[in-house]
Amino acid sequence: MRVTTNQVYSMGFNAIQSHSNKLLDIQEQLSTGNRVNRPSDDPVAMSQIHTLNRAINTIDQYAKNGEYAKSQLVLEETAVQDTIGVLQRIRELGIQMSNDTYSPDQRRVAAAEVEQMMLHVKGTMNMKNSEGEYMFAGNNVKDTPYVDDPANPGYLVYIGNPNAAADYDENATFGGRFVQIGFDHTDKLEPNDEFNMSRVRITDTGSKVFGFAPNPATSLGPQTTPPAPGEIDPNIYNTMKVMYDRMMAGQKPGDDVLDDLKSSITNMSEVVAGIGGRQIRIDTQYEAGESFKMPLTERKSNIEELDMVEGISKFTVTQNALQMAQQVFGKVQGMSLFNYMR
Amino acid sequence: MSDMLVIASSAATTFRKALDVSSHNVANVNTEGYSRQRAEIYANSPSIVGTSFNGGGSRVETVERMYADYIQKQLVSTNATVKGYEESLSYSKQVEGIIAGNDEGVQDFIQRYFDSMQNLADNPTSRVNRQLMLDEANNLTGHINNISVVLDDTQYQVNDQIKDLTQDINRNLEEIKKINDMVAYAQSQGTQPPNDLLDQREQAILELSSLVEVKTYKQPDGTIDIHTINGKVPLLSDNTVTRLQADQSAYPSENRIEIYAQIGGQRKQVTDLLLGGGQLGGVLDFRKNMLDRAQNELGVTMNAFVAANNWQHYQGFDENGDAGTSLFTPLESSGLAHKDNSTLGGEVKATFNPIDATAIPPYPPQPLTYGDKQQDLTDAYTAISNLSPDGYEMRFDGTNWTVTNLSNKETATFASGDSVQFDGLRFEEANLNSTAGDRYILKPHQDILKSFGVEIRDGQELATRGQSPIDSTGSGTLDDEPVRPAAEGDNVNIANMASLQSKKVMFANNSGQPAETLLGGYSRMASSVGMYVRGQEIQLTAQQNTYDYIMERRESLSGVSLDEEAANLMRFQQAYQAAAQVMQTAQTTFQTLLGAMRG
Repeated sequence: MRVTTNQVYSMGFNAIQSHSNKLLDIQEQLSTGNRVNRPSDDPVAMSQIHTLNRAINTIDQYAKNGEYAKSQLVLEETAVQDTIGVLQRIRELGIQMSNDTYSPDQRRVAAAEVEQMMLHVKGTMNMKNSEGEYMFAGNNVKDTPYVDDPANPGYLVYIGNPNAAADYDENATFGGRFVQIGFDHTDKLEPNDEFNMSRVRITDTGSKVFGFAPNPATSLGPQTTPPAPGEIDPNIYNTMKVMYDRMMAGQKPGDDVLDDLKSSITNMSEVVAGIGGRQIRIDTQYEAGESFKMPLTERKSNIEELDMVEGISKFTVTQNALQMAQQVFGKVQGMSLFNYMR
Repeated sequence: MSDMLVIASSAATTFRKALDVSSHNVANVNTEGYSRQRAEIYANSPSIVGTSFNGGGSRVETVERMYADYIQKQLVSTNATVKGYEESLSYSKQVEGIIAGNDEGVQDFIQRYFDSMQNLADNPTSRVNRQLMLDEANNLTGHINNISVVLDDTQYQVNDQIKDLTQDINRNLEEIKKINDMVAYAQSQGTQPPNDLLDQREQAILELSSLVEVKTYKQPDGTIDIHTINGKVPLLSDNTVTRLQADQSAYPSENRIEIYAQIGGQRKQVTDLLLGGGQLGGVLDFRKNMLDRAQNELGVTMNAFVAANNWQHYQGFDENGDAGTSLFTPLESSGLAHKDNSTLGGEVKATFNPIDATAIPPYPPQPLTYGDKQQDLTDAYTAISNLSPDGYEMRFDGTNWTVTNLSNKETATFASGDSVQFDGLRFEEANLNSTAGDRYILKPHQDILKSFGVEIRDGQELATRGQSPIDSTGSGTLDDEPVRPAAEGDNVNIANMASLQSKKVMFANNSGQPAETLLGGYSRMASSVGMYVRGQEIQLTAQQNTYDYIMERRESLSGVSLDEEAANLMRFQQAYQAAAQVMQTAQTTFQTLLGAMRG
């Protein structure tokens, strides 16, 4: 083939150009550490990276949700545990005072202790969390859950009980705020306050924690559910109030009171167990999320990141090629027949 | 003796001419488009001396131009392709960088937006969380608006580029026309081809092919006709230039430059006929297959985003127990009127309104039951999954309207005063002033990018709570319950909004099931942008290689080799010296003869 002067130039120039371009690409990959820096680097990988990013970030967010849920549950657990301790002390006192050896005066003295405990329990029942929300009002977080019973002065009534009159809100008998801790295949939270696999309940209603199902045979509380108008609300404060009143009158606390205290303790122990169970679920979900995240992260780095060893060796090879091309270009330029025609 | 002198002088002339040609070659070693020339040396016809033929010296018969038509044609064609891909690639890389960068891109903003919703779902009564969610929503809209502005700027840039390129093309055609005239004149005057003029013309055509892909036809009178590659637009015919005109499209407010030409006495839009090679073809291809598409695909994702968020938000209740309003500005896409429309001021629009509500947002009044309200949401999701990244045309025949999807040409009709649900959107008249023959185009998915914004200013108005869990009828389902809010601490609705992140809502498949999440819709756009850029890159590399190869062939045939010219210079110089020597010999011989006579 005939070789012309311009061919020699353009071939040398093109070689330098193409090597420089390659070098620039590798330089970008090396400096970012990523093989895929923009969609056109690998359009298919790009959409996978998006999906993986979303999954990984979402798992992180679920872990954060779990942290928050746990902090709430720990607070609730402490409060309920504490109340159980109080009730046990009250019940011991009640059993003690049921003994005939105690005089009405001694019972009145003991009643003072019961009164202190009542205030303490009332405080717990109307407790707020760090965000200023009532913890035991279900979703009515801004409403005081236990209010004075208008029909029975001195007694408290839960706002989910129709007897709370003006303060009554039926919504307070439901109460679940659910926090998402895992992927939900339906991506939908129903408003029906029922258990949801991918979420954990972080609030409870006062009636479920501090109330109890009255036993018609032994209980002093209401005989119907919901309580008939005028009946007192079945909750531990009211039980203690009855006990206090009787002891102030010098009477024994009464078997019905002791019975209700016992069933309250059982009920609250179940609540604590439930809260513990939820915390375990959060931990389990967290572990599951983390172990799910690992292969995702690995896959993402396989797709997105540059194999550094490969990248650096590619860089060196291309760099050498560029230097060669530049040298050849310089040498070839000096070759001309005119040089010999002197 | 005199023959010897004649022969020697003809040889001297011949070799001097040959030296001229070599010098001309050396002089043009760096001239673009120059084809090397060669002096064709022939022996002069012999004269008869007695019974033998005596040679008559030599002459330069012609100066030949080393040129192959088929190589030049290939060069013109690949040059157009290469320039086309170069142009579309540089534009598309610009767009790719803007909308699809890996860092701090739309996907990060979407992720943070949904994360802030999860935080709000954890603690829906927190004013701080409410504000943070609004902040993230505003960040997202800010980012999308930036992208939208840059995409719009790119459209304007393309408009300007098209205007400039058509002017360049017209100028180029005029130049070729002038050379055509000169070639035709030269051809009618003499028998020798005007080599350098021809080179200039080839070079001008090559430069034209950088602007637009053309085909050339040689005419008997030496001129060249030029048509677009598909043969449909004659650019230079019978040595008359058909000027390209860049002008606004038929929908003036669209602000889109199209190309027109006078063909057969009529002004025709030829934009799509110029698609393909050359810078103009490349920029048009970029606009049609990437920019418009990227805008529509990003827009359809944002439309789905706005609609899904808004309609889920309508389901909830805010801090005061009022039904949720529009969280993001709902779509309202006005039709752009055709320039030939009647002047009565007809208006049409497209909105997202799957239940044909009289207003957006559709509540209050609330539907009768929670079940009815849920059905509205289901209808909204169905509509969202039917959204399609296309533009639309609306046409009025006096009684009925026809809506046409400009991509797949599917249509829907409705009577004047009515409306139609089509591709997930509601098309209707905004007023009844249109008359028969009026036409409009609508770009709902480009409009949303401009109007995308947060409507709610006060965090209290975020509808975090959902339907009350009270089952007053004891039916075991809430569907028959009246619509009423749950207590303030409820997070059902905000949790469902947060779940939108993982919910598949877009692009219904054949069985009507949505196939993509909102982020998936965005990824699809990013992927198709990436595919386009990658496709152009691969094509450019391939075509560049072809171009280089053909250029090499052209160079090999037509290019100047300085070494060769150096050799030729020596060769012809020596021959010239020899011819001079012959003259000297003739002189000496003649002198010898004269001396003998004087003797």
